[in-house]
Amino acid sequence: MDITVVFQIAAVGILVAVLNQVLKGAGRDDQATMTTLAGLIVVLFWIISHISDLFGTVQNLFQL
Amino acid sequence: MDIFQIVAIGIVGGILAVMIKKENPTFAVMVSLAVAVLIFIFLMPPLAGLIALIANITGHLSSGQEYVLVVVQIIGIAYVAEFGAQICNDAGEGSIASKIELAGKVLIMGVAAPIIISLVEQVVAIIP
Repeated sequence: MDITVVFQIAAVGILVAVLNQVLKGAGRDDQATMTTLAGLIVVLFWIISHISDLFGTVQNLFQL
Repeated sequence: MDIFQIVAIGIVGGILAVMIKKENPTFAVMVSLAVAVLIFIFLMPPLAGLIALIANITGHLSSGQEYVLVVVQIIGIAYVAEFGAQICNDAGEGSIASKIELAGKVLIMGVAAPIIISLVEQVVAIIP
Protein backbone atom coordinates (compact mmCIF):
# COMPACT_ATOMS: atom_id res chain seq x y z
CA MET A 1 0.00 0.00 0.00
CA ASP A 2 1.88 3.03 -1.19
CA ILE A 3 1.49 5.97 -3.49
CA THR A 4 1.37 3.81 -6.63
CA VAL A 5 -2.15 2.72 -5.68
CA VAL A 6 -3.30 6.33 -5.82
CA PHE A 7 -1.66 6.75 -9.22
CA GLN A 8 -3.27 3.56 -10.51
CA ILE A 9 -6.72 4.77 -9.46
CA ALA A 10 -6.13 8.16 -11.03
CA ALA A 11 -4.94 6.47 -14.22
CA VAL A 12 -8.07 4.31 -14.38
CA GLY A 13 -10.19 7.40 -13.82
CA ILE A 14 -8.52 9.31 -16.64
CA LEU A 15 -8.65 6.28 -18.94
CA VAL A 16 -12.37 5.87 -18.33
CA ALA A 17 -12.93 9.56 -18.95
CA VAL A 18 -11.06 9.42 -22.26
CA LEU A 19 -12.84 6.22 -23.29
CA ASN A 20 -16.16 7.90 -22.53
CA GLN A 21 -15.33 10.80 -24.79
CA VAL A 22 -14.25 8.46 -27.60
CA LEU A 23 -17.28 6.20 -27.29
CA LYS A 24 -19.67 9.14 -27.06
CA GLY A 25 -18.01 10.60 -30.14
CA ALA A 26 -18.59 7.31 -31.95
CA GLY A 27 -22.21 7.41 -30.91
CA ARG A 28 -22.07 4.34 -28.61
CA ASP A 29 -23.32 5.87 -25.38
CA ASP A 30 -24.34 2.56 -23.80
CA GLN A 31 -20.78 1.21 -24.10
CA ALA A 32 -19.51 4.42 -22.50
CA THR A 33 -21.50 3.73 -19.37
CA MET A 34 -20.32 0.13 -19.49
CA THR A 35 -16.68 1.18 -19.44
CA THR A 36 -17.35 3.58 -16.56
CA LEU A 37 -18.98 0.74 -14.66
CA ALA A 38 -16.09 -1.61 -15.38
CA GLY A 39 -13.51 0.95 -14.28
CA LEU A 40 -15.48 1.61 -11.12
CA ILE A 41 -15.67 -2.06 -10.21
CA VAL A 42 -11.94 -2.59 -10.74
CA VAL A 43 -11.07 0.39 -8.57
CA LEU A 44 -13.58 -0.70 -5.94
CA PHE A 45 -11.88 -4.08 -5.63
CA TRP A 46 -8.47 -2.43 -5.11
CA ILE A 47 -9.79 0.05 -2.60
CA ILE A 48 -11.78 -2.48 -0.60
CA SER A 49 -8.78 -4.75 -0.15
CA HIS A 50 -6.75 -1.82 1.20
CA ILE A 51 -9.57 -0.65 3.43
CA SER A 52 -9.92 -4.14 4.90
CA ASP A 53 -6.16 -4.13 5.62
CA LEU A 54 -6.48 -0.76 7.34
CA PHE A 55 -9.46 -1.82 9.43
CA GLY A 56 -7.70 -5.05 10.37
CA THR A 57 -4.70 -3.12 11.64
CA VAL A 58 -6.92 -0.67 13.50
CA GLN A 59 -8.80 -3.55 15.08
CA ASN A 60 -5.59 -5.16 16.34
CA LEU A 61 -4.10 -1.89 17.46
CA PHE A 62 -7.10 -0.63 19.44
CA GLN A 63 -8.34 -4.04 20.58
CA LEU A 64 -11.80 -3.24 19.23
CA MET B 1 7.48 8.25 8.03
CA ASP B 2 7.71 11.95 8.62
CA ILE B 3 5.27 14.73 7.97
CA PHE B 4 6.82 15.77 4.66
CA GLN B 5 5.90 12.52 2.94
CA ILE B 6 2.36 12.64 4.32
CA VAL B 7 1.85 16.21 3.14
CA ALA B 8 3.31 15.39 -0.28
CA ILE B 9 0.97 12.43 -0.66
CA GLY B 10 -1.96 14.58 0.42
CA ILE B 11 -1.17 17.33 -2.06
CA VAL B 12 -0.59 14.92 -4.94
CA GLY B 13 -3.81 13.09 -4.09
CA GLY B 14 -5.73 16.34 -3.87
CA ILE B 15 -4.52 17.49 -7.26
CA LEU B 16 -5.32 14.12 -8.85
CA ALA B 17 -8.79 14.15 -7.31
CA VAL B 18 -9.52 17.65 -8.60
CA MET B 19 -8.23 16.69 -12.02
CA ILE B 20 -10.59 13.73 -12.29
CA LYS B 21 -13.55 15.42 -10.61
CA LYS B 22 -14.66 17.14 -13.80
CA GLU B 23 -15.06 14.02 -15.95
CA ASN B 24 -16.39 11.56 -13.40
CA PRO B 25 -16.72 12.55 -9.75
CA THR B 26 -16.87 8.95 -8.51
CA PHE B 27 -13.20 8.43 -9.29
CA ALA B 28 -12.34 11.65 -7.48
CA VAL B 29 -13.90 10.21 -4.34
CA MET B 30 -11.99 6.98 -4.96
CA VAL B 31 -8.70 8.86 -5.19
CA SER B 32 -9.39 10.80 -1.99
CA LEU B 33 -10.39 7.56 -0.28
CA ALA B 34 -7.15 5.90 -1.38
CA VAL B 35 -5.09 8.83 -0.09
CA ALA B 36 -6.98 8.74 3.22
CA VAL B 37 -6.35 5.02 3.62
CA LEU B 38 -2.69 5.50 2.71
CA ILE B 39 -2.14 8.27 5.27
CA PHE B 40 -4.00 6.34 7.95
CA ILE B 41 -1.85 3.26 7.34
CA PHE B 42 1.29 5.40 7.57
CA LEU B 43 0.03 6.70 10.92
CA MET B 44 -0.24 3.23 12.43
CA PRO B 45 3.34 2.75 13.73
CA PRO B 46 3.56 6.05 15.65
CA LEU B 47 0.08 5.42 17.02
CA ALA B 48 1.08 1.95 18.17
CA GLY B 49 4.07 3.49 19.94
CA LEU B 50 1.85 6.01 21.71
CA ILE B 51 -0.57 3.33 22.86
CA ALA B 52 2.30 1.21 24.15
CA LEU B 53 3.57 4.28 26.01
CA ILE B 54 0.16 4.87 27.61
CA ALA B 55 -0.11 1.22 28.61
CA ASN B 56 3.40 1.33 30.05
CA ILE B 57 2.79 4.46 32.10
CA THR B 58 -0.49 3.25 33.53
CA GLY B 59 1.10 -0.13 34.26
CA HIS B 60 2.43 1.31 37.51
CA LEU B 61 -1.02 2.41 38.66
CA SER B 62 -2.65 0.32 41.29
CA SER B 63 -6.31 0.37 40.34
CA GLY B 64 -7.02 1.98 36.99
CA GLN B 65 -5.87 -0.90 34.72
CA GLU B 66 -9.03 -1.67 32.74
CA TYR B 67 -9.78 1.99 32.13
CA VAL B 68 -6.78 2.31 29.78
CA LEU B 69 -8.24 -0.35 27.51
CA VAL B 70 -11.51 1.58 27.37
CA VAL B 71 -9.71 4.82 26.55
CA VAL B 72 -7.79 3.12 23.73
CA GLN B 73 -11.00 1.62 22.36
CA ILE B 74 -12.70 5.02 22.45
CA ILE B 75 -9.82 6.52 20.50
CA GLY B 76 -10.11 3.72 17.95
CA ILE B 77 -13.85 4.17 17.50
CA ALA B 78 -13.45 7.93 17.13
CA TYR B 79 -10.59 7.38 14.68
CA VAL B 80 -12.58 5.10 12.37
CA ALA B 81 -15.86 7.03 12.66
CA GLU B 82 -14.12 10.25 11.71
CA PHE B 83 -12.48 8.48 8.75
CA GLY B 84 -15.84 7.25 7.43
CA ALA B 85 -17.64 10.51 8.09
CA GLN B 86 -15.03 12.57 6.26
CA ILE B 87 -15.09 10.26 3.24
CA CYS B 88 -18.89 10.50 3.06
CA ASN B 89 -18.67 14.28 3.36
CA ASP B 90 -16.19 14.26 0.49
CA ALA B 91 -18.62 12.29 -1.61
CA GLY B 92 -21.24 14.92 -0.85
CA GLU B 93 -23.37 12.67 1.35
CA GLY B 94 -23.71 14.90 4.40
CA SER B 95 -26.59 12.92 5.88
CA ILE B 96 -24.70 9.60 5.80
CA ALA B 97 -21.71 11.32 7.39
CA SER B 98 -23.81 12.62 10.27
CA LYS B 99 -25.33 9.14 10.75
CA ILE B 100 -21.83 7.66 10.97
CA GLU B 101 -20.84 10.27 13.53
CA LEU B 102 -24.00 9.56 15.52
CA ALA B 103 -23.21 5.85 15.47
CA GLY B 104 -19.67 6.61 16.62
CA LYS B 105 -20.95 8.65 19.56
CA VAL B 106 -23.41 5.96 20.58
CA LEU B 107 -20.75 3.24 20.42
CA ILE B 108 -18.32 5.36 22.42
CA MET B 109 -21.00 5.87 25.06
CA GLY B 110 -21.54 2.13 25.07
CA VAL B 111 -17.85 1.47 25.67
CA ALA B 112 -17.56 4.22 28.29
CA ALA B 113 -20.66 3.20 30.28
CA PRO B 114 -18.85 0.88 32.74
CA ILE B 115 -16.40 3.65 33.65
CA ILE B 116 -19.22 6.07 34.38
CA ILE B 117 -20.94 3.48 36.56
CA SER B 118 -17.81 2.74 38.56
CA LEU B 119 -17.12 6.47 38.92
CA VAL B 120 -20.59 7.07 40.34
CA GLU B 121 -20.17 4.15 42.73
CA GLN B 122 -16.87 5.51 44.02
CA VAL B 123 -18.38 8.97 44.50
CA VAL B 124 -21.33 7.50 46.39
CA ALA B 125 -18.93 5.50 48.55
CA ILE B 126 -17.00 8.66 49.46
CA ILE B 127 -20.08 10.63 50.47
CA PRO B 128 -20.82 9.78 54.16
